Amino acid sequence: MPTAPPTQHGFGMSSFDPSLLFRSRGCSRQWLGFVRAMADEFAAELPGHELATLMARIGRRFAQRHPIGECVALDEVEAAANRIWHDIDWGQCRMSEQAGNVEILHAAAPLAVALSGTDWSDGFLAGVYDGWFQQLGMLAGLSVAADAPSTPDLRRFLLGRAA
Amino acid sequence: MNDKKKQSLPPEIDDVGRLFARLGSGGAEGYWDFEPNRLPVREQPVPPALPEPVAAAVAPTAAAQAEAPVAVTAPQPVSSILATIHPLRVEPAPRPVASVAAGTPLADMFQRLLKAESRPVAAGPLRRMFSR
Repeated sequence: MPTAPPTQHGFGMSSFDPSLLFRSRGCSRQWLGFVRAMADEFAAELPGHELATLMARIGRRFAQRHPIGECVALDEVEAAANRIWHDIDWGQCRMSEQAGNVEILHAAAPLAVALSGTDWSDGFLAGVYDGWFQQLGMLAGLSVAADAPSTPDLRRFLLGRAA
Repeated sequence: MNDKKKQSLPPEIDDVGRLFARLGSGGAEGYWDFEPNRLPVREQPVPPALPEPVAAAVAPTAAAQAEAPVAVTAPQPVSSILATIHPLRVEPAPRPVASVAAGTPLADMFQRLLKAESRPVAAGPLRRMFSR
């Protein structure tokens, strides 16, 4: 029996299928070559951890320009974040509290497509989520960091105690 | 007719001549004769020093030659570009944390995370890069 096609935006649908979202959207061809060329130029000069930090700073600036708004619970944060991602066609996220941290999964991020899932490119989304949680009063000693993804299509971040 | 009358007057009583003299210009007498090759040459101000232009690598077309020559400034050295980027490669100073209303689920969650006994996440944006 064929499965139902994904909804147009994926936002608000009950199922969570990152691969379908990813494959249906990808990255705009208009920016693909430019982003890859710029990434190559930066990567030729800077080591990975400095690139990641640079991307995180860009991410925090993005968060400033796209404030998350008022949220009092994690599901509200997820919904507010998805509204922003939906508006700019940047995929979808899911947040869930686990033992000792909050797992943030992000599907169909164009940057993951453009940069083929390079490690340092995750710095951008880490910076965005970190900036949003700072806006929401995240306590000192907590931060958002990228973690190893289970699949290249699905980026993984953890909110927890900073080392 | 007016020119003849004007030329008949001595230069020292001419208003224009007096104006030239007051300005310290050498044209006080020369302006009487309007022949182009006898007009005093105005000194051009020296332009400020500019970066050495780099000749275009491509041979100019006929149309391009007809236009004014375009000088391409030398590209900025890579080292100075990296020097500009350098401040962006380090972690920014911590910002003042926004206050969160106490007693909300989010505030409680932050408290739980801070007190958690689990392994802390790396401070940098890429945990896995440092843990390899």
